[in-house]
Amino acid sequence: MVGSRRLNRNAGLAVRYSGFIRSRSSFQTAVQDHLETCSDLMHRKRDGNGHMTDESGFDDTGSARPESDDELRRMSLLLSERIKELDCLYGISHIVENSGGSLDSILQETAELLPRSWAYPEVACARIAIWDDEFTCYKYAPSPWVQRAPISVHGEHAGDVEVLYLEERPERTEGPFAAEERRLLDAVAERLGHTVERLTAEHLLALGEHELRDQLTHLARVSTMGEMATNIAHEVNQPLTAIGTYADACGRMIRAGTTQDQEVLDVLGRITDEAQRAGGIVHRLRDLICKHETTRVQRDLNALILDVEQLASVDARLHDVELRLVLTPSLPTVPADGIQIQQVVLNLIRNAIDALEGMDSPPREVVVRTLVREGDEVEVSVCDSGCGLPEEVGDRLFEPFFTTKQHGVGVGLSISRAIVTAHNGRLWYSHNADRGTTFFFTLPFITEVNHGAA
Amino acid sequence: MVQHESAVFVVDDDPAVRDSLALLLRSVGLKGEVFSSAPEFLDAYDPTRPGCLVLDVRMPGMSGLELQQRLDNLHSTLPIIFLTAHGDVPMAVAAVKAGAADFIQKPFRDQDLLDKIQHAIAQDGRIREKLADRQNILSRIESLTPREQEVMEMVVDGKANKVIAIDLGLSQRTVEIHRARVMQKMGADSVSQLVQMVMRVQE
Repeated sequence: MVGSRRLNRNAGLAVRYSGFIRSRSSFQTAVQDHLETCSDLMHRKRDGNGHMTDESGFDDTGSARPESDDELRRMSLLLSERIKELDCLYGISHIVENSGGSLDSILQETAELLPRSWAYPEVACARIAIWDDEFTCYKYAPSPWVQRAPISVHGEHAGDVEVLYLEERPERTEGPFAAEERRLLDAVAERLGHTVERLTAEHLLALGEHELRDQLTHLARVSTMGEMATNIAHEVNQPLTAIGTYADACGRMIRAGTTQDQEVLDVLGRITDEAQRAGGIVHRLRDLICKHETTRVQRDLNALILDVEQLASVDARLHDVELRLVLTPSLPTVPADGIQIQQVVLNLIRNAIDALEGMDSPPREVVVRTLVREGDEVEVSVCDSGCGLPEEVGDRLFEPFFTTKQHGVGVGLSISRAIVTAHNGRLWYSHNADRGTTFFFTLPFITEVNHGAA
Repeated sequence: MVQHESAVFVVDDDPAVRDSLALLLRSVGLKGEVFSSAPEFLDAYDPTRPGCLVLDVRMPGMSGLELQQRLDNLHSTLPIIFLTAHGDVPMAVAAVKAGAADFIQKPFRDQDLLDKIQHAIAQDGRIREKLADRQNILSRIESLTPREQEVMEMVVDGKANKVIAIDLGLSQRTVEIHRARVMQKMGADSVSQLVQMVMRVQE
């Protein structure tokens, strides 16, 4: 039984392929239909000694006796047609999976594949037209014997898939075409429609993702230290400008001898006011950082760092820096304001990336580590293989408006330290033995259960 | 025409910066006028008043760059010195590209700002002189009759009276009379002076 052996082989194929077609429900249904038809046919063959029953849904004579040669031949023909259909649908699946997402190649290869599955492949050709594009198999030519199925994309008619016979063939259900071929062509059209939908969606998604990433980077920049730093710099700049200008004007007036003591005293008073104002800005900033205590909840630092990585990795890639995370699993949670701690980590990573600027020799990497320290603390470190910091900088690095960067403002680390200190932690750095710098910060976790609760 | 004294117009939203700048200007004998916002300055803006504008680039509401644009739309030639902050380099670049005379970063050394102000006031004086001269020449040209204007163009083109006479179908004597009238009305002593005047308005 040649047909049966082929069927078994193809059924096995179906099982193997079922994995990658499981997400295409309509397609799966189409394949399922064909499989069921095939299994019906097999069943009927195996039960060849018994009666053909109506439940197979395939018995168009209803009362035909089995074992007749005609019946067997007819079933054999049906079977081989089912197999051709299956081959065709699997073929398309294969094309789609191996297309690398190119719609053009999918449509072109499908046009080449289709004629083989029709009853008279030697005179068959195919054409797929979608929107303004047309894909034809190599022997395509217009012909009056055509079977056509519409391709709809998101419910709208987007094009057609056609199989044509270049020569006349015996009349069947639909011109020279069989009803099974109509079903197959409809299934192919539906499949192509879904493929177009999926690929265009993926294309849009890819575009969207890129834009989203840009926006995220931007957002991260403006919402963290950068924005704060610029605003603070601008705000502090005003009183500083006024102080400088008052003092200069005062000096000129005294030198010119055009002023009274009272006027000088008055200007000195204004200078003091402005100095107070600059101080007030710094105080407000500290308040801002320390006021957030209420939003502190138990946080998993690893999870916070993984979030930050998503943002920082974009920066790292842009600067050709490898960002590595070495996270100790199952860290104890710490009470923390997640956003503030993320700002600290992000700031440290950005500094580390900046430190690699102009360093051409590998490794160009930044390593973020977490570990548990004795004394009930979680430690986070950010290590770079960058240019390092001059010895004499020391702790001045954490002073506001101290910076070693050409375009830095010098508030990132001072704010970071204020945040960590407000969390009862510590922030410091050390010079690496080989090269670069490592910044550390610790946050305490609470191990003892609070028995004092009323 | 009333000759105004050059003034330094200061627009900054920060009262202390305004006040200290006013004091600095006074200490060197410059006339300063301060405004707390761009619209306040626009309301008081008088194109005939010479001087320069010291303008903060960052202000709530209308920014310095927007004010620059507005003044540009009004065909103002008042030189602008922008006050920028440390991180405002791109803004400063945009301002200079849009025709700002100069910019200075806050906080600044008083002498640097005063030098820029003097420079801008001198620039404004030159621009105004040039504009006045141009206006003067244009009004003289307007006083010519169409025929005289025609003759003047041909004289400026270097054509001899004989050629002009043929071109315009006039007698050489008539051309000579027109030409004398042109020189008189334009206040030109020589043809080369006339050519220079026409070139100055064509710039």
